[in-house]
Amino acid sequence: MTFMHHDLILAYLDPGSGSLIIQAVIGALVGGAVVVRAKFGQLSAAVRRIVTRTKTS
Amino acid sequence: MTTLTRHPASFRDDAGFVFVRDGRPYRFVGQRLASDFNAFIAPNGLADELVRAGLLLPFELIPPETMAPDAAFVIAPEPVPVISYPYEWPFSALRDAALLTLEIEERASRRGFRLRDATPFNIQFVHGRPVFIDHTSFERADPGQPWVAYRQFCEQFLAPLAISSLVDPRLGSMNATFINGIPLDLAVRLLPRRSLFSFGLFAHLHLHAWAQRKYEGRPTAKRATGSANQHAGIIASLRRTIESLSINGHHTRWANYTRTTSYTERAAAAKAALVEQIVGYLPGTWVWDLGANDGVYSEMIAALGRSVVAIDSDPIAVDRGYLRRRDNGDYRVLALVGDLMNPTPAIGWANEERSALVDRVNADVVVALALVHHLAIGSNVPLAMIAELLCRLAPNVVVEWVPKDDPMVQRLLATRDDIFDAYRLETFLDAFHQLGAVTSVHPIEDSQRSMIVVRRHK
Repeated sequence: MTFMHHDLILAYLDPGSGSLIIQAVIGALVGGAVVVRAKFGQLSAAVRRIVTRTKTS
Repeated sequence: MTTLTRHPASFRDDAGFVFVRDGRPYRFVGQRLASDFNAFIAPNGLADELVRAGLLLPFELIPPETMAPDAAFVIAPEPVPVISYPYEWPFSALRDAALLTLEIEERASRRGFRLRDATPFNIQFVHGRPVFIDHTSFERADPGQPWVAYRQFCEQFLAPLAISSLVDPRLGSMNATFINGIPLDLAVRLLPRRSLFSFGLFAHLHLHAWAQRKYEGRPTAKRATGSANQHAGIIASLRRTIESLSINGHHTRWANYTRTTSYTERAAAAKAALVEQIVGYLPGTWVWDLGANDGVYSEMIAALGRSVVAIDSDPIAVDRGYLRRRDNGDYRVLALVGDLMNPTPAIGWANEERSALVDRVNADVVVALALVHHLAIGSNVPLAMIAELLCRLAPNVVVEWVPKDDPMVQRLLATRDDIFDAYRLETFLDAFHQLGAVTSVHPIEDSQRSMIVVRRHK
């Protein structure tokens, strides 16, 4: 497993091994969505800019 | 070195705890947390942002020499007038507290911080709104690091909210038994199968519970395998999951369940006017409305400029009132779920960590409308004991007397023997007089009922 490594997490709370692992798994699933959403936002903003520019000119 | 009187709930971290001096809470920040805290309170930093947004309890810094010379910082937070606990909050209040936690985590991570814990005990309702009260919960963190409080968030917020929403809102009381969070294996056993079809509940509860079991006790590495996007994705996913939860279905199912009164319209208006008039001339700021249902009278009393705590044992009614006021921007009432037959006990470590409800009552006036017959006849509590409790809670009591021939009392007696010969107004008044209190009785027009005003002997 890539998560199993040196450098133990020593937190004030016990983060729980399973909780950390599943967080990485879910993070990988939903983290992509964050990127896609951000890129889509940039893209639609760019399109909007072009459209408004064409309209005004 | 002077010894500080630590708050009994504040034992988990030696470097950041609450102590009490002259009845006021202060927070000690030790050397271990000093550098994170210093970054947190930087001008125009995270603390400023959160206080300005109304998310964090405002605070001042006190020179440590005056109180705790070995502290790096001493914080004097704005006082919280009435402490309440997650197991007393209606569903939507716990949901708002969860969303507040996520918003704070989102804002913190944008500035290179993380919450090092995510418990509803870090939140209090001040003027009806949730605010974060733990100023030492913030640490600087690598943006790709996993969130150490993720497990706690799922156990203390997501699991109880999902159970209340998908099973029954009355299970909000589980939060008192599982004071440090509902174990996820238990949560997933209680949840119905349809919870598997919600991505958020499936991932954060079902899959999470499975992973906990599978990797139990194995040390895990801290590896920045993640990225800031992954963390943002987790927080956004938790937020969407919590936003999707509600107890609306239960509201509909219980729609006919209200403590309906036998009042004519005229009597209801007379009762409202009487309550307004009586509470209006009684002294003090704090009014506790016991058996408040959804808090219609509490709102009326709040409109007189009083601060009100509204308590009822029906979590659906309390939630309905909470939502109505929140959506109207009315923040003068603190709505709590509580049962006078079994008020919140003192729980947690040494029975001192979370205090009993009766010890938190700061009422100048206690109001108990349409309640006495439920206690005396519905639950067999002698009138003398009711009088004693009411007088113990506040120097002024406004209590509605509902006589035996009232249809609501008759309804309670319909299915049982009437063993309540002592259920008479004179018995009740006599009980107050025995305690040295002075009473006056005000009949409610167009009804058999009356309002008793009790002033406790000083």
